[in-house]
Amino acid sequence: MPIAGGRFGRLDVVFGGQTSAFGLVLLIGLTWTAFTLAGSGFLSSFNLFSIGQLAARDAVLGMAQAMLVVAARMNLAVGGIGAVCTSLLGFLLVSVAAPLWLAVPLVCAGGVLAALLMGWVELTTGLSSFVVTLAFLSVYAGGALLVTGGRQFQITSQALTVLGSGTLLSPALCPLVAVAIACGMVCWLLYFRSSLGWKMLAVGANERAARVSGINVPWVVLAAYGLSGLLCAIAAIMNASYELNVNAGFGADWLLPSFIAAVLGGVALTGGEVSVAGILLAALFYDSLQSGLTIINVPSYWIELPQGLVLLVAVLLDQLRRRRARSRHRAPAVGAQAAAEPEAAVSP
Amino acid sequence: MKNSFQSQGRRLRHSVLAAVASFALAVTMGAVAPANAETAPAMMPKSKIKIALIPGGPNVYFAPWAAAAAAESKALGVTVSYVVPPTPTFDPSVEMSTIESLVAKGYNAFAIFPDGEASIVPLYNRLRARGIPIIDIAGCTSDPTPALLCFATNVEASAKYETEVLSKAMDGKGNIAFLTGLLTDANTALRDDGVKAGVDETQGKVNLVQVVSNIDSPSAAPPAVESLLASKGSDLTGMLSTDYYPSVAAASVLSGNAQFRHILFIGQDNDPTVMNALTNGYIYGTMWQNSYGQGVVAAQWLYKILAEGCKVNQNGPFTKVGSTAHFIDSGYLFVGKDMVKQYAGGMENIPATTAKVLKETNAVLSCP
Amino acid sequence: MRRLLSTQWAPLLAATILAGIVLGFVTRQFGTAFNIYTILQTAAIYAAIGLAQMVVLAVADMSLAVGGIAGLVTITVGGLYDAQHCSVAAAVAAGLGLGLACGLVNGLIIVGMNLSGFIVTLATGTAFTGIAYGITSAIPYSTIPPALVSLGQGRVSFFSFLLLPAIALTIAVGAGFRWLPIGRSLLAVGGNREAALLSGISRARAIVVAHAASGLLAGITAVMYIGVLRSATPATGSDWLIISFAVPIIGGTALVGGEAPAMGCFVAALVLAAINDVLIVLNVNTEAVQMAEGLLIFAAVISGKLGQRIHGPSLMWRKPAARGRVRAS
Repeated sequence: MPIAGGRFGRLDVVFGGQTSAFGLVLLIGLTWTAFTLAGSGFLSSFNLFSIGQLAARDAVLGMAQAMLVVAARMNLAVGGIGAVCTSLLGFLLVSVAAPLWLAVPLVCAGGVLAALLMGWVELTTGLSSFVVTLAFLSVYAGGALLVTGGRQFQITSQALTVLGSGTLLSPALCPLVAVAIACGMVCWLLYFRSSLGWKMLAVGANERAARVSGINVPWVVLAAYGLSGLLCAIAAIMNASYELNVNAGFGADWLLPSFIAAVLGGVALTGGEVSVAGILLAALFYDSLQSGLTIINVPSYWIELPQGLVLLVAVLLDQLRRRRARSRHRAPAVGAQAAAEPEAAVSP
Repeated sequence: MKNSFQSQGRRLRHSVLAAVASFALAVTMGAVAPANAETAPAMMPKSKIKIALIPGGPNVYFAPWAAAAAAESKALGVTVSYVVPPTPTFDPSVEMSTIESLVAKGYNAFAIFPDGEASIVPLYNRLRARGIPIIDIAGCTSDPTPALLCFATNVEASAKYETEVLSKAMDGKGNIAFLTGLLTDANTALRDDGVKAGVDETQGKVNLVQVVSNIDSPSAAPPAVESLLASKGSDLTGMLSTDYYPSVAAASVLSGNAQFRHILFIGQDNDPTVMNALTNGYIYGTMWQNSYGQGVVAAQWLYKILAEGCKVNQNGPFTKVGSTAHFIDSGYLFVGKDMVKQYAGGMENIPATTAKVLKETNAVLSCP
Repeated sequence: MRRLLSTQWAPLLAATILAGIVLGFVTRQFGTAFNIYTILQTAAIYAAIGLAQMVVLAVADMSLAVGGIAGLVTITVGGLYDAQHCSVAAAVAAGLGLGLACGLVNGLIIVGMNLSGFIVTLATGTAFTGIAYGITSAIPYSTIPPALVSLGQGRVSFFSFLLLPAIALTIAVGAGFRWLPIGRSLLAVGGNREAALLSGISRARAIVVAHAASGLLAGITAVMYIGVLRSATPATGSDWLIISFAVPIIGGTALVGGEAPAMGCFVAALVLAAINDVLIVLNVNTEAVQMAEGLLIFAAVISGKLGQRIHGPSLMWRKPAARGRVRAS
């Protein structure tokens, strides 16, 4: 078991998340300066709009991932739920011609249900979330493709078009950014102002201790799954709002950004730790990176490499920061075998 | 909603233009085009022209565009770049952000393979609002689209022709199987239609026994082709593929397994594995597309639009294909064993079609 | 014999063989030598992919970089042979060395920085893929050594030559975990960290060794696969992620470590390959393949759970019993 300090060992590191947010602001500032100086047009409203549009979706994906990572689980099926929700949205809006006000709640409900099913399977079988969500990724993504037969749905809803491609206040700002920030605020309220959020953190930090202290662990875990599904559904709607022509192939690329946003944002993979501002900033950083690398003329075939490297360097720096923070609090030897353990405690 | 968005911005010009463009799109595209033409400068000096060719992602099919960009850059004396969006899965979001970064960098004309036939349209509107001309190449956005025209392989006609050639080689009768790519790709649907149309023409003499889809990947294609041959090998007289990896896999399996060579196979594109199998007579032929020509023609037309103030002639030699009415065929060609020598090793794909289309430039564009 | 029957993969194998015999009677094509060769060829590749993941799972870690390493090794071997005109042996040796080195890098970063393998390999896997695309500009190398083509496509009746390396790897990995001191200490570390720590086994060394072995196995898989496609493309490995987990999980590897049923991997690979084949032989939509994989993971682990109820505690579950377990098969 990583770090045994107090009953909810890692809860006290929660505010470490803000250090990570501060580091990200610094990182964004530095890279943006570099991109602006080395290339031209990085700060044009046009470019900022596109970065915001993508970063908004990735931030919501990051939160969807964080919901479960915080509870010491993971959701490999973000893309699978995305495929189901996208297909459902297309089916409702195009095939059924349902109004948007009806379609959106239904899609959200679909996302929640899809995720709750995974949570229920995890709880009843006792399998690890990794296995459950990996299997459901195949089932959902394959099932959506099978049911829709790969059909394209051409969405014509004007409200959605405005949401995805209109502008907000300034030509540099996509309305989706507001959606992401709203989601972020709700998440912040959940984690820092509600007992449910606190329980999620507690379950993630030490499930056994949480159980002993009277928390209804299965209920909290189900809530985490449900919220993760809801956020996946929102991400699917956001994605559909600017891509308009949707199909069951959506979501295939969501895994990497969802983890990058969550992990860069300072959500500990071992659970019990979250930083909502960090997730928003991490998504912004990740998406400005790709744009910036194009602008400073990195040969385009090579752009994937720096994306991987940046994740690596960011994770390394984050770990160094944690180590320093830890050594300030505790005897250094105790934390030595932390991090690498995705599973719950095994006491000798 | 709409009003509050518009009234709040102080730098109204851009936001109004962009908003107007995106709303107008939903109704009609015709109304937007003239407004854009006004914002674009009539003639642009060579030093300012920056053309970009944007493929869907890293894929060998688009590789000739790099050579086309280099050649045209030299020939026209302007910047022509080939920029690949870093997304092996052809994610539209990544493609869009790549294009927007290039606009920010000062690129002012684009030839684009759209990763989503409608996904990218809002971006096109933002580009056109800035007076940036766009030509779809190798794949089309669906009407109403702000793209000036679409210059691509007529995949439906190509697949139909491929089926006809195969059926002729089979003396007009027999069983065939069809190998193809992702169902979510709009082109796959068109190819499927083309093959079925070709089969229908035979009035039941040629049967389409099995369609194996979703196998256009290096790990999915070989086992799928082998399983198909194992189960239907003795019943099949012909087999065709409209996608890259199934063609490579089929050529590879037929090269190694003489017992299936009674099956006439027509593949797609010019991967060396396919061309070697063809030279050795293990497969019947392959369909070529004109990727190089797509790059060359698109670059030249975009250049004329910017440098000479040309406009697209609305009554030009367009055909209606799939979801767009502004379509020009970039050509397809059946290459059989006897033609290998003539075409092998050439980067220019189908130079004859390229020359023919370039001759029609004056009909496509009307220049002052 | 009783021990054999009590393994998690025994019922799976029995069910598959039974289904195979039934299918053989129903559709005459299923039992043909060529079809069985097709299944075995795919199974050999799946087994190798699964082993590359299993050795890391054994130490309770995971690697998302198996596909990325395979892509990089593929274009290295292809590029050295095709563009640099190296000999086959030199190209393959360089490729395998690179695979080993990539795995080693993963292990060293994980241990050095005390991070989880998940996040590190997510990052390095993306980076390896990025390098492969960057070097080749997405253009595959198409001059493939004839030796590798005979390896990938050669057969005697139904016996695919790829089975030779696959069986050799399965035996080597199985034996290594069972009899080699290093293999046993990997399992000890995976099974119970504290106990291993107390008994003086270095967890750091175990993780580095596991990742290096995984990299090498990914490299070997890539070399095996080059001949199958006759083309060395950087896209190789891009869709191996789910297979790499499905094979060892269905084969009975616990995600909490301490187990390395190499034989189970091989059986699981066989089952997945057979499903892939049957769906096409019976002309079922190929889209169903993906779904079938997911459902099979459930079926396997749940049936495994029922079996384990009878035979003792399972390691597959979230709340493992707190005791040291060292087991291999």
